[in-house]
Formats: sequence, C-alpha cells, structure tokens
Amino acid sequence: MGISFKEKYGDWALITGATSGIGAEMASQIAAKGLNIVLVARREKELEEHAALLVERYGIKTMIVSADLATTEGVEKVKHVKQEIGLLVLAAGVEINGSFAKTSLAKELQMVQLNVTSVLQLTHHFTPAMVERKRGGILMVSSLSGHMVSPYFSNYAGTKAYVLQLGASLHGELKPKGIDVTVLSPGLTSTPMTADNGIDWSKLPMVAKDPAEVAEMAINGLGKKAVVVPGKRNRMAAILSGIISHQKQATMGESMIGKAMPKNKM
Amino acid sequence: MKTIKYNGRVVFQKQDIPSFKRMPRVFVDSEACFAFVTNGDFNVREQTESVSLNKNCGVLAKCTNYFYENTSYHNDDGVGEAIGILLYPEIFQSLFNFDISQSNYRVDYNIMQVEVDRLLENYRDSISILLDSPELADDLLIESKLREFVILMAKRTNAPSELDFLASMFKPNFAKFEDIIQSNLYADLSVNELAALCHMSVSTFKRKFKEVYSEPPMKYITKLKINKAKVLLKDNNLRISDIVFETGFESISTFNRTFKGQTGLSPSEFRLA
Repeated sequence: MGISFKEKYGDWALITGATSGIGAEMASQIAAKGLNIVLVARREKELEEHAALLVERYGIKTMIVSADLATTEGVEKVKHVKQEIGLLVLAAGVEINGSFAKTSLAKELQMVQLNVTSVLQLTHHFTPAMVERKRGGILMVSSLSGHMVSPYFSNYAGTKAYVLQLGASLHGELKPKGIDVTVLSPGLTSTPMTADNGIDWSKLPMVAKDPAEVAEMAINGLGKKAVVVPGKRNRMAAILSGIISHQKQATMGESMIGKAMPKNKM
Repeated sequence: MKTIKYNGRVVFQKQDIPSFKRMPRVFVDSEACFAFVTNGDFNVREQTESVSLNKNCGVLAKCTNYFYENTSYHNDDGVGEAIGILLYPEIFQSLFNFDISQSNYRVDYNIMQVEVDRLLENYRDSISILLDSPELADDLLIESKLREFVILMAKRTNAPSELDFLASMFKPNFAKFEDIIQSNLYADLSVNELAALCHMSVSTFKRKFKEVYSEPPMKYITKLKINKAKVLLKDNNLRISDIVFETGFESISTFNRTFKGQTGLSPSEFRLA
C-alpha cells in the first residue's frame, strides 16, 4: 500500500524562491497537500504577505526566512531552521544573458553563488537527516539551458548544467535510501525572471508555459522521474541536445539567440 | 475488512482506508453511523455541509448519502484505518425497549463533527480490540458496547434522552435542490456524485437540473467555475495554483484547457488583458 504525499515527506517543506514564479506556485500546491512551509526569499514584506495567504487559504503553518542565498550569511540563516524538513524545494535562481565579454564578473560570480553553491550547500545540509529518517524529497530547478549549448547564456547554462548533473546523480544515489530527488528543467516559462531579461522571445521558436502547470508537473514527477521537462517541444529539444554535436548546437544557438538579443547586450 | 455482527447485521467494522479521492457512502435503508479514523485528513461532504474527519475528530452521520473525501488527495494512495459503528433502529429498539416513533426530537444537522475526548478514545480502543479478537465479542458484550455508545453520544450531543438521540438519527433533513447545487459548485463533483447527494437517479437529476437552471449540469457548473476564476484572476495576489484550488478544478492543466476553451485566452493572458 502506498502512502500519502504528506506522510511520505513529513510535515514541513522548505521552499527557496517561494514568493515568485515557479517557486510561488509550488508553495501553493504543496500547501494544498497539507504540508507546512518554510518560505525563503529576499524581501521580508513579500514573504509575510505570501505566508499569510497560505495560512488563510490552506490552514497550514508557515515560517519565513528572509535571506539572500547569493551570500554565505543568507545560506547560514536557512541552515538554522529548526523544523524537520522532509521536502526541500530549491527554486531560487537568477539568469544573466548577453555578450560574455560585456557582463560583470561580480554578477556572474553572484549567480554561481546562488544557482550552484547555495544549491550544493542546502542539499548537503538537509540530506543527512533525510537519510537518517529514510524518507524525504528534494526538488531542484534546472533549465532547458542546462541541457543545451546556450550561447549568450554561457555561465547561466553552466550553472544549470551543474544542477541537472547534481540532481540526476543524487536521484540515483539517494533512491535506495528512500529519498526522492527530481530535477525540473523548464523551457521558457512566463515568470518575472524571463519577463525582465530583455530577450525578444517572439523571435525564438518557443511558446512560454504557465508556471503553475510547470510546478504541477514537477510535483507529480517527484520520485517518479530523475528529470522533468515540461512541454513536448522542450522534451524534444532536451533529447536532441544529447544527439546533436556540441559544435552544431553552438552554431545554431548563436544564430538563433543572437537575433533575439537586444543590441546593447551584444 | 474486519467486522462484528449482531443479529446478522454488521455493527462494528474496521478497514484500511484505501486509495481514493472521493468515496461515496450510500444510504442503506435505515442506518446511521459513527466514524473514527486513526490517520489522515478527510472531509465528509453531505448535501450542503462538510466537516473534517481526522484522528482527533470523529463524525456522526444520519442515514443519508454523503461522501468521504481525502483532503490531500492529489497523489494519495491510502492511509491509516477507519473504525465504523453502525446504528440500526430495530437493534436499539430491542436493546433499550424504545419505540423511536415516540420521540419528536429533531436536530438540524445531517452530519456532525465530534471531538474524540478521552472517553471516546477509550471507547474506540475497546471496539478496536474486539474487532481484532472477534472471539471475545459475544452478544452480551456487543449489546453492552452498543448501549454504551448511545449513552455517550446522547450526552455529547446534548440530546434530552437516549431515546431522543436515537430517534433524531433516523430523521434526515433533505435540503432544497438549489441549495445542494449551490453548496457544491466548486467541489469538483461529477454528475453521478451530485445525483447521489440529491438522492436521485442520474436521469431524474439531469431532468430536474435542466428544469431549474435551463442548462445541462456540467455546462452550468463549468460556466460558474470559470466566472469565479475570472474574478479571482483580477486579484493579483492570487497565483494560478490558488485559483485552481479555490474553483475546484482537478488539475492545473484541466483548468488552463477549460479556461482557454471558454474565453479564448489562457488564464495568464486574461489576467494581463
């Protein structure tokens, strides 16, 4: 006999990037399943508002941690959470795009800190207790860019390739220990992150997916799949990225993405 | 399922709660019931009311149609076990020498949530032991346990007497058709389930629905759900996931598809429009 989502993952979920985009949709969907939630994001006011809404609507308990995960102090703050975390959702992330020769190194390093280092640190922090309890779930958010060669998103693609490899490897390693690890690799999704990045998406052969639907697919895939890629076209792209040579992907990517880039970023 | 029978009828039962999202409890001639669960969070949905059922709260239900719903249902496949106590008028008439037609006492609920205090917890455990070792349960013990239940419940529900408590359990209140529909618009019920709540056959239900609302049931209900979603979408504090939960669509993808079918726009496009 199987067990319920709540029994499987315990009473508390911790969600980073919980106040916007895919993370926020996941927070609502996980709350609907009756789990209490530790919300992590930068802005305290938004955290308070979102937490209040979850409490009122779903009758769960919440806790908020206002932390910038691009800093060591921010990560330490999250590590101090005392609740027994049974489900870890790492949805916080940023994206930098544009000509590599022009981007700021400080910002690129900050992105590595948030997209890579904090994911490693938090996963490493919360995994041992899950292993001890012989149950738990970890949901990481990568990107289709983590599968494909992505000119003008070079470092971003690198950070997401890291998440993909870390998560998919842990999926295999932690499965026998009773822990479900799944990586979500969304293609273009209508979230604040993609709305503000300056790219003219209409010049690319992509249709934006709804973040709520993307979140639902990830949650349904937890424990069943190592990697969830929402959308048929995106799944095809992910498969092709494993077949087409890097050289070919690089040339094709440059010509396609180059057209959609704003002039000042080239 | 484990059961104990008295005079050929099941009076106590224990079963694993199987995988379900919504499970009907269809009224069988005159039978009222009390349910305990050891685990999980459930909802008991009756014509116009719904109450929650968990290890701290049991549910007392008159002889009427209702549904058990798993509150965290999305991926659930089974939790805990349930213990049921089934009440039949004939059995109690003979146990107490009652004539329930003598009481005019009525209560205005069909289902009621009852907190499991220490007394009830003890009672539940004693029934659970009997169900595990049915050889202990001879008629004398069963009779005394059934009497104990009625005495406990009459007190808990503040009924004037045990007779009044029992009599009230076999007088279901039937809600108005429109009230039943309006109370369950956003509960994601199928036509079959709505018909069961109204104690009607599906064909009678469909005919009655068309008379009252001049539209087929699902068409009308979907229209109202989408209308509610449209209002909620204009509130920018709500995420699509919240709206789907609130309007009772079974999944985000169903909601997106239905919304686009009705309005020509996706929910996010509608929000920006």
